Amino acid sequence: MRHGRREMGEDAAAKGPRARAIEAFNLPLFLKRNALLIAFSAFIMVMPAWASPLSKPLGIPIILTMRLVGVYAIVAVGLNLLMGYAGQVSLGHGAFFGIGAYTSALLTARAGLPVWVGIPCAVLVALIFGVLLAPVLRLKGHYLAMATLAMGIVIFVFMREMTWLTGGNDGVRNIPDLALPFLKVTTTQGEFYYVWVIAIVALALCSNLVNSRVGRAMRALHQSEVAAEAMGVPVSSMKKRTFVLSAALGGLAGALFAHLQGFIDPNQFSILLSISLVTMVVIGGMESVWGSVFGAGLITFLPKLVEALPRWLGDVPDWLEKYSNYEGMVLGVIIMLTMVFMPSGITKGLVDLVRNRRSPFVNPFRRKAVD
Amino acid sequence: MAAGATATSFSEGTLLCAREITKSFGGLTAVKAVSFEVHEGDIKAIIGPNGAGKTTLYDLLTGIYRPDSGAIYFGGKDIVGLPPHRITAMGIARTFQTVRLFPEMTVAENVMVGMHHRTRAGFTTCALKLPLSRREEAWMKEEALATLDIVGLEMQGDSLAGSLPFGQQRLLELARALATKPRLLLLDEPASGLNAYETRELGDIIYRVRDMGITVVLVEHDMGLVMRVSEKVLVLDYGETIAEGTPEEIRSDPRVIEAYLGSEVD
Amino acid sequence: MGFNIIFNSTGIINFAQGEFSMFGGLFAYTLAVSLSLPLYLAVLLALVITALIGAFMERLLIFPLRRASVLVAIIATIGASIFYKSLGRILWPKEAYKVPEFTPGNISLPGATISRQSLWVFGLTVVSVTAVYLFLNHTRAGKALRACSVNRLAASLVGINVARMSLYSFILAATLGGVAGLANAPYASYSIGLFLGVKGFTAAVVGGLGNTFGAVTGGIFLGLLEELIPGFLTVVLGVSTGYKDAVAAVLLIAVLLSRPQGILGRGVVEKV
Repeated sequence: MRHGRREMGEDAAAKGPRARAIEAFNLPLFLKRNALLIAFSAFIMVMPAWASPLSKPLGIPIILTMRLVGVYAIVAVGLNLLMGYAGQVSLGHGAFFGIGAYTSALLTARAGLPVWVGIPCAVLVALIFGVLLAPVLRLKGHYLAMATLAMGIVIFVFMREMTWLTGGNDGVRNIPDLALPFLKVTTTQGEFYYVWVIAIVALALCSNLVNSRVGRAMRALHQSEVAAEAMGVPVSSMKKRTFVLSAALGGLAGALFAHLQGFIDPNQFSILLSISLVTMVVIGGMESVWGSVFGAGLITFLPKLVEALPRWLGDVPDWLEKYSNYEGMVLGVIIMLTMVFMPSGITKGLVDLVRNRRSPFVNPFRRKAVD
Repeated sequence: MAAGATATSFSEGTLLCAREITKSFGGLTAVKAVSFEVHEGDIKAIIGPNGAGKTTLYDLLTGIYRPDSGAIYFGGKDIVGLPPHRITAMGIARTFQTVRLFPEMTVAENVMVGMHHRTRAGFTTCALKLPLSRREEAWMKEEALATLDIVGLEMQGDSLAGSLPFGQQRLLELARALATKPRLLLLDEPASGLNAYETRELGDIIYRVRDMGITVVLVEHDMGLVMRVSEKVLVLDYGETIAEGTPEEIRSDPRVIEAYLGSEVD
Repeated sequence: MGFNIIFNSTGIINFAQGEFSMFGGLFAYTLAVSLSLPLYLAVLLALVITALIGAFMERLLIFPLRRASVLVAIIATIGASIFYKSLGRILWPKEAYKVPEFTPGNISLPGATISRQSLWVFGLTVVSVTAVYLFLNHTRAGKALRACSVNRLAASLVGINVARMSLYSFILAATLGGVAGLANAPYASYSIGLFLGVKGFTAAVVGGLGNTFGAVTGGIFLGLLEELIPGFLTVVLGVSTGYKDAVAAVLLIAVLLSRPQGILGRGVVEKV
């Protein structure tokens, strides 16, 4: 009785152009489905208007910092596809970020190519490295985590030691500003928009992806590799493609970073960067595109906030002013508290709270019968 | 191996043919020179005591393990050495003895994963939401509901798979396997953990699936279900075939009774 | 080795292991130099403090995470590592401290001069390896700890308190880390926990996971390799010795990818 329906694929494919046109022009539906994206874009668009006057009294350069948030959001979203959706841990993603940064920096500062050529090349090189390194995905769990961490270390050491190419610890200087063909971007605000337009496009594409056939396959293989494979999902090629995609996004973000900073050296791309990236993803919330943006924002603003906070409070105890290293303590405490009490990340925890009226806090100290 | 010679000797209507397949793990031979055929439209049961090698046999047929020796033909083609997802795409679907759903996806999404190989939209198409991906998505939703209808779960499409009661999880796994549009469906102890009522329902569903033109093989301990639905029975013990025949023949076969110590066959 | 003990008994890679060493060395410095306690007392107290830090960490961080995913646990210990390190920076703002040597001076042997300190380092290593060996093989708690490393569920079924064993393993590992920090004491400084994590994990994987003494063998092998490679790099290849930092990492990737079946053991094929 169901036989007739089984060939629906072909039926749907043969649907007239009229039906398709209606589907494409359904504006209210489009608005409804992309409400979050549209709201966020609007938020970003008007941000300079209210954030610039606020920066000075707060003591935080908001727009300047937001440019970096955009950069980190791009790489964090890519990493979230890999870790949150496909469930493959990478503790070495800073390497792709660094590869992207160096590629574009060297091509523009040394070889004199225009910036808008350098950035796509950076994406391409990071993508190639992603393909070359994809075999580590054969490993699982701790082994994958450690192997990717090792991968990050190896690439970091090579960036530092290949002085003939990278300049070693002296880094690459005088990297040109971001630019479009025939248009130089010079103001902070211009850079802000440049980065965020790219970031929002990347976010939109990734959020389309996770809600599609491909995204479902990623989540399926995360939850049971055997079942996913048995249901016809080519698990290993799926993992590799996701890895390569996230590497390419890392390269893109790295290239933007290089042009924003104007100067790069290997220590900016050490494993500490990889760790911050993973922290953004985990704290923001796994399996959540928007969580990564939030995580990127939190981790990027935290140091600025910690720096500015004492000034808001006025008098600072002498010992606190002297040792400004407590940024690490705050970060460490936030990481530990989030992992213990909200292991699914802050955004998910909050969504749970609002939607289900359920406390997002788990009480992990309660003993249960069997461990 | 004389693949060409054996391939010609298929009788008409043979869907699956296993020849002398063997698999050992370390010193233990889990499947020893097992041969059998499954004909188009059959409902065939594979029974045997625990540890007889039934699940390993499934793992060999679906490509999760590769046999040490022997050949497996499906629809006349040698499938040994193909990765599991290719075998699935050729038309063999399975369920698992221990339910392996994707618990944090919805019921409908679980079924849609089963349709993966029947759709084509790739990374780029999906990220850009090109018309192909939109059309496929709409079709998949409809088809998923139709498939859920077969097992009676069409109302639960939006619940999380992990939140379903156990019996429904078994049914969902069956629906997910059906979503791959198989020619051959391998069920691994589908009735274990089900109550008598659910088991009866399951029997009806198996008939319905066969009437859709799908050949069914089931590994099962519930002899009531086996005797009721299956047309042929294969009995394994310690990885070897000890008997094959109709349920009536099996019931009275002395070797089978011995293997079960005369206790489990009622 | 401390690293391996924790990994085995709790299944967690502790990235804060390097910071245990840091605390061992730096507390010994503070107690011996700033408070001018006798050296042996300072050392003993430093070890006790380090062990306490390990115990607190287990109770407050690891115990609540015992059912969490690999990733969550890794991130949490990295968080701890970041926290400890910046705490260390606040308490001990200088880059490096010199703890008095146990016995100053050198011993002259025919053809070589050895500092007494390096003898101490060697001696301490031998003593602690022996002590751990005796503990694991000849005490009830040690045997229980080993049981946990083989199979936690089975261990809990025969009445071993797995949660307590996890606590013990952290105390033990922290103490060992403290010893390692002391042995290095004249050079006590901030180590990068992650680099150390990779080295420890490499040693463990090379020596065989699940085998505590394999880690020692692996550690010796890795140490030798790291000493030999720079010479090889400069003399044979004519490149910078800086590449030596990548040795452990390259070795780890090579071993994991080339022999997954032998070394991974479990987890290669998800059992169906």
